[in-house]
Amino acid sequence: MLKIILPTIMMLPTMWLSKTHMMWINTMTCSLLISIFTLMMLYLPNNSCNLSLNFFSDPLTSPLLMLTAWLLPLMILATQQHLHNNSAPRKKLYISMLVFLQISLIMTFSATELILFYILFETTLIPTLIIITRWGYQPERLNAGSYFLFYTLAGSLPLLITLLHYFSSLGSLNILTMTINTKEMMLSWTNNIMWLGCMMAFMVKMPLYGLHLWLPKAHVEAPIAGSMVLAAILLKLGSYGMMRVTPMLNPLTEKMSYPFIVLSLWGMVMTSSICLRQADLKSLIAYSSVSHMALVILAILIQTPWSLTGAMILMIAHGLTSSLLFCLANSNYERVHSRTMMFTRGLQALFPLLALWWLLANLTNLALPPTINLMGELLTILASFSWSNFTIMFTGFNMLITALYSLHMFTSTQRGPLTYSTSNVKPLFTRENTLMLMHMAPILLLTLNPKTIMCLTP
Amino acid sequence: MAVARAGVLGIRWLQRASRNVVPLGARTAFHLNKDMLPGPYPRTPEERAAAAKKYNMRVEDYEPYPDDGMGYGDYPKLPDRSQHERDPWYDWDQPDLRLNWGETMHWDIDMYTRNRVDTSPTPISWDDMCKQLFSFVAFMVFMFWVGHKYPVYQPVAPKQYPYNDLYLERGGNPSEEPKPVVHYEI
Amino acid sequence: MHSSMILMTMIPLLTPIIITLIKPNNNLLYPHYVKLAIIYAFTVSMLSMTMFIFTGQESMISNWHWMTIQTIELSLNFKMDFFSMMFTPVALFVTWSIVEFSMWYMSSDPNINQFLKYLLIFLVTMLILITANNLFQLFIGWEGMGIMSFLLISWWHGRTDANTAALQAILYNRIGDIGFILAMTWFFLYSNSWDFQQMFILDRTPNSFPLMSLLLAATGKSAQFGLHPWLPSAMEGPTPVSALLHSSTMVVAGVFLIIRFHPMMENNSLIQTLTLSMGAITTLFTAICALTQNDLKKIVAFSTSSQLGLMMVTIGINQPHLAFLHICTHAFFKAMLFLSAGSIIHSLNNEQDIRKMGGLFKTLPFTSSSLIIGSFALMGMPFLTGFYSKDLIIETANTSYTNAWALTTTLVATSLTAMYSIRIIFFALAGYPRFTTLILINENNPKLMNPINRLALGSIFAGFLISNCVPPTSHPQVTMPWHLKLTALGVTILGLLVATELSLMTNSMKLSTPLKTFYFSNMLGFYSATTHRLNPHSSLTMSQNLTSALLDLFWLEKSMPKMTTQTQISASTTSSTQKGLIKLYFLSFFIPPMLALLLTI
Repeated sequence: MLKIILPTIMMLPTMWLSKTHMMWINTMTCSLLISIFTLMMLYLPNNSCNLSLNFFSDPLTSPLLMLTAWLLPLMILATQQHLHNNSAPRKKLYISMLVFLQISLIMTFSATELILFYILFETTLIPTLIIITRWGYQPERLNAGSYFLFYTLAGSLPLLITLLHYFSSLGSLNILTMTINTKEMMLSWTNNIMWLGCMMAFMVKMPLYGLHLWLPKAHVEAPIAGSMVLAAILLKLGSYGMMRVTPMLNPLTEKMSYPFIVLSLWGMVMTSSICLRQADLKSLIAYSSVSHMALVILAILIQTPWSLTGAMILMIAHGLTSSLLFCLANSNYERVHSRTMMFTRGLQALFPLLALWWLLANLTNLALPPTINLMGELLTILASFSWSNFTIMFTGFNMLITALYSLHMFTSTQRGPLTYSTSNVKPLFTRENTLMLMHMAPILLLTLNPKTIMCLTP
Repeated sequence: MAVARAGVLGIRWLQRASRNVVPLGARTAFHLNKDMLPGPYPRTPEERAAAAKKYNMRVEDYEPYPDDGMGYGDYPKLPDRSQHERDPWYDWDQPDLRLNWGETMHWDIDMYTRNRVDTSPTPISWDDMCKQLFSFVAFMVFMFWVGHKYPVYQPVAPKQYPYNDLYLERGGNPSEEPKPVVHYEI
Repeated sequence: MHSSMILMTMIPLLTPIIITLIKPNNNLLYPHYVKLAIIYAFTVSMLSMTMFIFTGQESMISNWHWMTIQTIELSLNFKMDFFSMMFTPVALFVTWSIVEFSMWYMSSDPNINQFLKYLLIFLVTMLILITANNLFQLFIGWEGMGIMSFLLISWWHGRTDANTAALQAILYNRIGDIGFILAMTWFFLYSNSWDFQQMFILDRTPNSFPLMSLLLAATGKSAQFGLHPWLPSAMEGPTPVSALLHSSTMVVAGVFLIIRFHPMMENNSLIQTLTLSMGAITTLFTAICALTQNDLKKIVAFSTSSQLGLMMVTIGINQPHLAFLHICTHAFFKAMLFLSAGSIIHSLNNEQDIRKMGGLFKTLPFTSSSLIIGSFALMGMPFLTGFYSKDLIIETANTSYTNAWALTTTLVATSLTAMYSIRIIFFALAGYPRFTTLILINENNPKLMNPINRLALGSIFAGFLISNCVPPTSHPQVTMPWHLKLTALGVTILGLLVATELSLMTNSMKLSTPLKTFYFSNMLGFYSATTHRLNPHSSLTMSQNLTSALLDLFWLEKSMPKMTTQTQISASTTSSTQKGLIKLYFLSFFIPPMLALLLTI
């Protein structure tokens, strides 16, 4: 694991010491090399895991680690235009924030000890907060930042207490030995509260419907890299944490999960129906990720092998897709200088290639077969259908609305005649095309061989 | 609709109940800019005139939404007409949306664009349309039910052919030819 | 040999698609590549079809294992049975003609290469659907077709109407997809497989639930009543798209799905009744709608919808092979009707209103004769293609133990078919010209003549050829009274006579305000007028007012973050502001000792 963490740490001096014009190139090269390293973690013969004393990786972490490592070069690519007017030290500061976030994310995903996991989980807040509140778009970014911080903090403090309690009663919080150590949790008030304490932090992070208010705000105010990393990875921290702690909460989850499953089913439909009327491109995408993450919550809480596999696939698929959508929204924004969908119409006439990326992104977002998005959704729907037949009403309805708002987004931004206001805009840069391709390529490759991210359950 | 109405009523009630504790006017970061948000509800005629001027309207045309806490503020209440109804041949500044620059848009303009809700007048009234469609469907369903209850059957018989119903031609065993079937009696 | 031939039909179709990836520049010869690929595929598929008819050997190819989820294995499976072997050449033949036609029709479009590529992908998705041997692969074709139809219908994407029609198509298809997903999950859970063979073996008498969801899926895709409005709206696309969409791809996919699942449906009387009723109501309703339309393409579109209803009726009386026969024969004459309509529209400078045509049989003799052949084939004129399937269907329906009302509606719809067909002929072809002068009418381009010619031949002979290959066991020969035998023909002739009479009357009648019944037919039975206003309005209003404003911005925002801030603010103001209440402040010192006391007890 140090093979990945150390080079990522060493990216900081590399970047600070490199000349201004070499800065982007150096960081790109370094981060791409690191992401190649992470591919090695996929090789896990006989369902084993890479172990060390503090860090490990197993089939649950390695796809997420790959996603994390892959996203850093993408973020660096995406921010170049956004930081164009900033001075060199500020650019460097920005990138070092991204790198710092990357380090903490990698360590969070691979931590063996739950307290360490908790500390790193909270550490990821700091660079994200700085990115949002320093480089955001409008004055409201401060508000968004405080929402982001306080929602997650309020959720995760009970987790700390619960973890400390566990530590004092079990003597160890090692994830690998967790399932052996813990006793069965019976239905009692204490245990219920403990369950809530463990899960709430992750539910807020996911976010569960009702606790999701911070997400659209943070997304809308965050700069492009912030949105990308939020949608792609920070939300997955929540689902990762849930998948890690649920084994020690058995068999209470079966009973306790009912309200949350109901809430996520309801919230899934509600949030996607909000998407139908969003005027702002970024908040539409943010709400769409809330509705997709509701599916992941549903899958994790049902806890069958199918559903966990589905959750895993959906996490990766959603990470790539929503990040791509944010990049596209940013490309639009950098040209039209507005995120309002009413005013960015008919862009296909100007940017045919961008229209292709939009189409592909929307198709993956609405889970067109045979993309992995569909595989994830299908497995989740399957699992929830076998859990209770009535869930299909919500999941099916959600599929319908997802297709509607995705294609509505596509039609209203790309199709139709060009408005007179959109003239004299820059063409699409190669950098941006590369960025979109680098999002799309993993989706397509994983579609060809989804087994790589499906080893979670043998 | 009923749900939305109930929602409005609920909001009014809550507003009355909690006016002192929680001041209304939810200020959201992800919606619009501060400059774009509507101002407070105009109460005096001067305020109305100012608001009308702000929205590029004549004072007599200007009519705000009722002050029911839905956050409309001084935004003018325009007729609920979709963009379908606007003249397709007029030289609009934005022909796709059929809008002119500087024109005040409906609060729900994104709902009334041409590929969403259509409110253009129909030759037949709404009730008539619903009645006819519903009665057609109901009649058909009822008749299908009746037909399902009492199915019909027309008398048919298997087709008969000469030469003992083509026994040999169909590959029957020539050595043990069956007796010719006799359907009649003399 | 057999299986390699199937791959040989698929691979050439993919080459033009791959070429554009390698060499994206505008290639003037690209349309020819597409055409050649389809011709090649057609020839090979004809060979394999002949072999299939000769040997009758069904087979299945399974290659490239995709993934395994627990106990279920997904791999690339192709099924070569009667349906796929017979339909592939038909689809390829029709597409060949349509592609050649669009080389003429779209020749002024700068993106013609892209257009042809889309058509090709559309065809490929249909072939995937037809040859699929597991439900997932079928779903790939199914959804792929939906998305391609979205792209093709909104081909002229500057037009808002085209975009709206495309969105509508996706919306209705997606409702059908819910049914498909439902069936998929059900089969996954209860038969633990998506392979057709395994599902059929395990579920001899299955639950009605997955079958109902399959029916929902077919309803969406095949535009049956309730989910039909997208089909006439899809006429916003270019004419070749309509031709392809309505003849051999997309709309018949739903019927095809039901035919595929027929082994499960044949023992379930509830599903049979539902299918029968659904088909009957569709065929009547859309035929009524077709009666008073003035848009040439819309009439033809509604006639497709009506024929789809007839196919559903056929499945409802347990005759999947007959339905399949009708799919095949329908492809020929419907494609030709659209191509002739395209030729007329193009010649009249994009005029689609039949009231502004007239007298075209003199100026466009070739197109009008093919239009007449197509219309007669559609009516079921003896010994044209349509006769072989349509007459058989109505005969079988007449003689089966079934719902009398469904039968009556079907017969009425058949007679209406003759009415609207004769209306097209009467208005567009006969009489005096009502179009503006100075229109360059020309139908001598071989790219226009050849496809229509081929399809005209197909519309005359294909029915005879294909009906000879359908397994005879499915519909046993019966002796029936002569009135039953002549019903189909009789109602058609009746419709013809009435329509001729009415059309003549319209010319001599004075203008009067139309009746309410006219509006019912003219406004598509008010279905789209009501549902397309009510549903979007209510759901969009709800989405804004209820979910966004009320729940998100008000309840959730107020109950958590704002509430916390308010309490914090009020608490801090009360605790920090000095008001001189010394006694009260001193009293507050009692709080910690009290707490300590409480904790110790």
